[in-house]
Amino acid sequence: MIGRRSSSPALRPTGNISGLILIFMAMWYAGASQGNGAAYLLFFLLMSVIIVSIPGTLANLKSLQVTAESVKSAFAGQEIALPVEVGNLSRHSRHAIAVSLPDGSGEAAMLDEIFAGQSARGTIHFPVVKRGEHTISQIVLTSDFPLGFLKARSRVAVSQRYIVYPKPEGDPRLPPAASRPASHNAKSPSGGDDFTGVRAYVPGESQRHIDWKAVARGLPMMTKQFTAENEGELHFDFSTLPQARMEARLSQLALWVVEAERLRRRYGLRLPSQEIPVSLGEAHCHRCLRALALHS
Amino acid sequence: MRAPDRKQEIPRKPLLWFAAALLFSVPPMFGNLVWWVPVSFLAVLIAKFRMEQRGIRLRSTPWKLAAAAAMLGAIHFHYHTLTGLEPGLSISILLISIKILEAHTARDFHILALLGWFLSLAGLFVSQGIGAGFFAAVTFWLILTAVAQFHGGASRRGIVAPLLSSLRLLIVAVPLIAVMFFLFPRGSGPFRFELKHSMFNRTGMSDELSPGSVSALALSSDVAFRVEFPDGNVPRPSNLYWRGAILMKDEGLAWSSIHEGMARSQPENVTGVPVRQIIVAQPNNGQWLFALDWPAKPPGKDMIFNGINMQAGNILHSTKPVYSPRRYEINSFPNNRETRLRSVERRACLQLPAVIPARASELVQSWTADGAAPRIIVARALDFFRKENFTYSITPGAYGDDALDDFLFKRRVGFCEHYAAAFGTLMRMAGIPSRVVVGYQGGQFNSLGNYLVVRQSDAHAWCEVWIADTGWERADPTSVVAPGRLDMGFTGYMDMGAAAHAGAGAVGDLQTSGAWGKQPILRQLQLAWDTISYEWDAHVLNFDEETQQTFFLNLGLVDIRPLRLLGWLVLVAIFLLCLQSIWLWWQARVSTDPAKALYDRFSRRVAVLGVERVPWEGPVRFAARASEQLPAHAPRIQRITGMYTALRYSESQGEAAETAATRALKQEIKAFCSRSEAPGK
Repeated sequence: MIGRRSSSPALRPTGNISGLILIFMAMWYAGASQGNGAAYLLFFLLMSVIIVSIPGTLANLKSLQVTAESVKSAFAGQEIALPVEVGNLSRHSRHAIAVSLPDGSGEAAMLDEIFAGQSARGTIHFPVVKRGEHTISQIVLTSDFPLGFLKARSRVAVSQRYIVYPKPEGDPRLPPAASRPASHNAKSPSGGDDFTGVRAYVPGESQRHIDWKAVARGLPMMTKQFTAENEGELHFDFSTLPQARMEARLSQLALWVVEAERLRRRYGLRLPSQEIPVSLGEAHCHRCLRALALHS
Repeated sequence: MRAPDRKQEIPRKPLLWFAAALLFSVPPMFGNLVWWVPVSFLAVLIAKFRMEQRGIRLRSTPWKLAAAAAMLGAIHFHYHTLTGLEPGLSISILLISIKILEAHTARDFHILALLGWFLSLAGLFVSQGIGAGFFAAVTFWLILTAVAQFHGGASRRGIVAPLLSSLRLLIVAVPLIAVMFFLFPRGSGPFRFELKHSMFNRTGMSDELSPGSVSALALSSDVAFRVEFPDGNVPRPSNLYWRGAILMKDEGLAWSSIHEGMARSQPENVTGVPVRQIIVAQPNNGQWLFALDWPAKPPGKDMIFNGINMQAGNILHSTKPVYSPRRYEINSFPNNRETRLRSVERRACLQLPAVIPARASELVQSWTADGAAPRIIVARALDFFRKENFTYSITPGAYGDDALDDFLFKRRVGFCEHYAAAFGTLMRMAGIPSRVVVGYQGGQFNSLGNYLVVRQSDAHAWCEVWIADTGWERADPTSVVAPGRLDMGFTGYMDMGAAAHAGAGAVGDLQTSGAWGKQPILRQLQLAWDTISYEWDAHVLNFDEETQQTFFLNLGLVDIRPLRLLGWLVLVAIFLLCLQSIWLWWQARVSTDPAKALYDRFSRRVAVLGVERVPWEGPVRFAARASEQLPAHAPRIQRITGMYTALRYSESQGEAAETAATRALKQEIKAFCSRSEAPGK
C-alpha cells in the first residue's frame, strides 16, 4: 500500500481554550481598569505566544505521508488493530501527532516525535460490532502541539479493507457427525477423551481448553486437544439450524467452526449461496469464517 | 511515553516545571502575605510530588471544602476581613494550593497552568516595578515550558533544552508583543473596579500633619517620584520645594487639610522662565501629584487638564487614584506669587487652635508690640527658632497635651513638621495669615539617567505666610534650625559619593540617608538600576490612553479611535503570521536530495520514451525493464542507473567525492535527455 500525503490541516480550539479566554479577560480587565501597564504586558505576552503558535500547530501536520497497513480480521465484539506508518518528508521534526479514525472511535495511535526524513509507526485500535467487509477510507491526524489550546486536524485518504467475522455465539456442542461413514477412516485410536497434545490458540476459541500451566511458564497460548472428540466429519448446514434470525445462525456456525478447528475435527460448511468442502486447518477456518462474514 | 490524554495522569517532568514556575510567582508578594501563606504553599508543592509518586490525591469533596473553610477562617482571623488586596492574594494562593493537591488529569494540568498565569498577574497588583516584572516573566516562561513539554512542544530531555524550546516560542512572539504594545487600544471606558488599597502599608503623603507624620517617612528610601528637566534649567537645590498639599486647619502642633473658603486661583503674574518638568510619580495612597513650587496650568487650559486637577493653593491632584506610575508634564514659575486673598480665605488662614499656651501669646506679643510690619515679624519668628536652643531630630519623641507649649519652651526637639506647625500657629497668633504646605524638598540627581529622584525620605513640611504687598511667601523654619536639611538635597543633587556626605553627618540623625553610595561601584549599579526602573515606569508602564494618542499624533496619525487601532493591530498581526507561515512552509517543504531530483528527471525522460516507472519499482529493476524495451538506449540507461545507485546506496566517500559524483550524474542525465530525441523508431 502506497502512502498518501496529508491534506492541508484545519484548526479548531480545544476544551482548554475557555479557561484561557477567562485568563485573557482577567489580564485585560486588570490592565484597563487599574491602568496596570504590567498586566497589559502580561496580556500581550500570553496572547502573542498563543497566536504565534498557530502556524506551528498547522505546520506540524504538513508534509506527512501516511501508510495504513493490512489489518488482521477479527470477530465482531473484538478490537481491530490498524497499523499505520507516518513518514515525515519535511526537514523538521514533527511532534505529538495522534492518528485516529474520522469518527474518533477507538484508541488513537500516539506518535511523540517523528524526526525529519524518518517515519514512525503506531497502531490504531478500534472495536468492531458488525460482521462483514469494511473499508477504512480515511485516517485523521490531529495534533495540539505546541501548547494544547488549539488542535490541527488533517485527513488522509487511505483504502484499507478488513473483514469482521460473526461473533461466535450459541450452543458450543457440535452437531452429530455425518451419518454416512467417513470415506477414509481417520486415525482414531481408542482411549476416549485422552489428551493428545496442544496446538496454537485460535482467537475466538473457548478459553476452557487453553493450557494455562504453559502460559504461566511463559509459553504462548496453546489449546489442549483430546482424541475422544476426534471422530467423524462434521457438516455445518445453514438451512438446518433451529435459530430463526440469520445473524444468530451465522454466529452459531462461527462458533462451531472455531470449536471444530480447536478439536481438530474435519468440517465442511454449507450456506445457501456457497458450499465449502470438508477440510481442516487455519486457512480452511478463515475461509469458512470469511464466507460467514460476507454472507448476505 | 504516550502523549497526553484527558484521563491520563500528569507526567512528572511538566509538573516539576510547573512547581518551579510557582516558586517564582510568590516572591513579589512576600511583603503582602502573612508568613504562613507562602510556607503552606511550599509545603503543598513538596507534598504534591510525594503524593503523585504514590498516586494519592485529594479526592473527597468534604475534605476539600473543609480545607477551603479552614483557610478562609485563618485569613479572616488574621485580617478581620476577606476583601481587599492582601486577603485576596492569600486566598488566591491557598485556593491554588488546594487545586494542586487535587489535580491529577491532563485537564487539571491545564487548569493549573492557567491558575499559575493568574498568580503572576496577581503579583503585578502588588508591584509593577521592574523587579516584579522580572519575576512575572520568569513565571510565565516556566509555565510555558511546562505546558509545551506536556504537548510535545518542548523537549523532554534535560533542563536547558526544554527551556530553550519554550524560549524559541517566546522569541517568535516578540514582534507581535511589540506591535500589540503600541497598537492595542488602551483606555478605561466605563468599567472600573477599585481594589481596596487601604491595607497597603505603602508610605506616602497624607492629609494630616501630626507630629511624627513626616519623620515616619524620613527613613524610607522608597521613590516618591522622579523628575526630568527637559530644558535643562534645574533650580538650585535649596529651591527644590515640591508642593504636595496645603493644610489649613490649625490645631497647635497638628494641622489638617480643610479647603474651606479656599478659592482656586491661578497666580496672577506668571512671570519669568518656566521650569518644565516631566514627572513620573510612583503609586501613592491617594491622588497626590507633585510639582515644583508654583506650578501653573498650561495656557489656555481649564483648571482640570490632562487628568490633573489644579486645586486651590496651586496643588495638583490626579483625577483618579494613582495606583500605577503616573507620568505628567508640568510647568512651574519659581518667582510667582499668589496675590489675591479673599476675605473668607483670610479668615480661614487666621483661624487659631482652641487652646493657646500663655507663654506663646507672650512671645508673639513681644514681636508685635512695636507694631512692626509683617515681614519684620516673620524675621523675628525665624530668629527665635534660630537663636533659641532648638534641635532638629528625626526621633523627637511624643508630645503630650500641651504639645505647643512643650515644644516651644521645654523640649525644643522636633522634625520639620513640628517647626512648620508651630511657626504657622505663631504667625496666625501674630495676625499674619499662614498655612502649612507638605510635600518634598530636595532630591538626588541621577547623572546616568539625567533626572532627579525624590524619595520618601525627602518629605518635608514648610509654611507660607501672607505678606500684604507681595502675596503668599514661603517661610521655612527648618532651614534656620537645620541648614543642613537643605544641604541634604544638595549632596544628592551633586551626585557625589561618600565625600560629599560628610556634611550630612552634621545634621544629626539624618545621616541614615547618606548610607547610599559609600561604594562607588555599588553606587553606579544603583544608579543604573534606578535609571532602568525609571525608563520602565516612564515609557512602558505609563503607556496609557493619553500617551498612546500622543504617540500616534506624533507619527502623523490623527484618527486613532479604538476600533481603528484594533483593525490595524489585526492587519499587522496577520501580516506577521503570514511571514511566519512562509518561513514554516519553506521548512516543511519535502526534502529531496540532488541525486534524487536528477534521477526523477531521468525517469520522466524515459517515460516520454514509452517506459513509465511505477512508484515501487527500484532503479535496478526499472533499468532492466527499460533496457529491454528500449535497446537503443540500454547502455546509457544502465550507466546512469549504476551511477545513481552508487551515489545513493553505497557507502559515503566523503562530501567532495559525492559532489563530484553528483556532477557527473548530472552531465550524464543531461546528455541522455538531449540526445534521446527520437523515441528509437
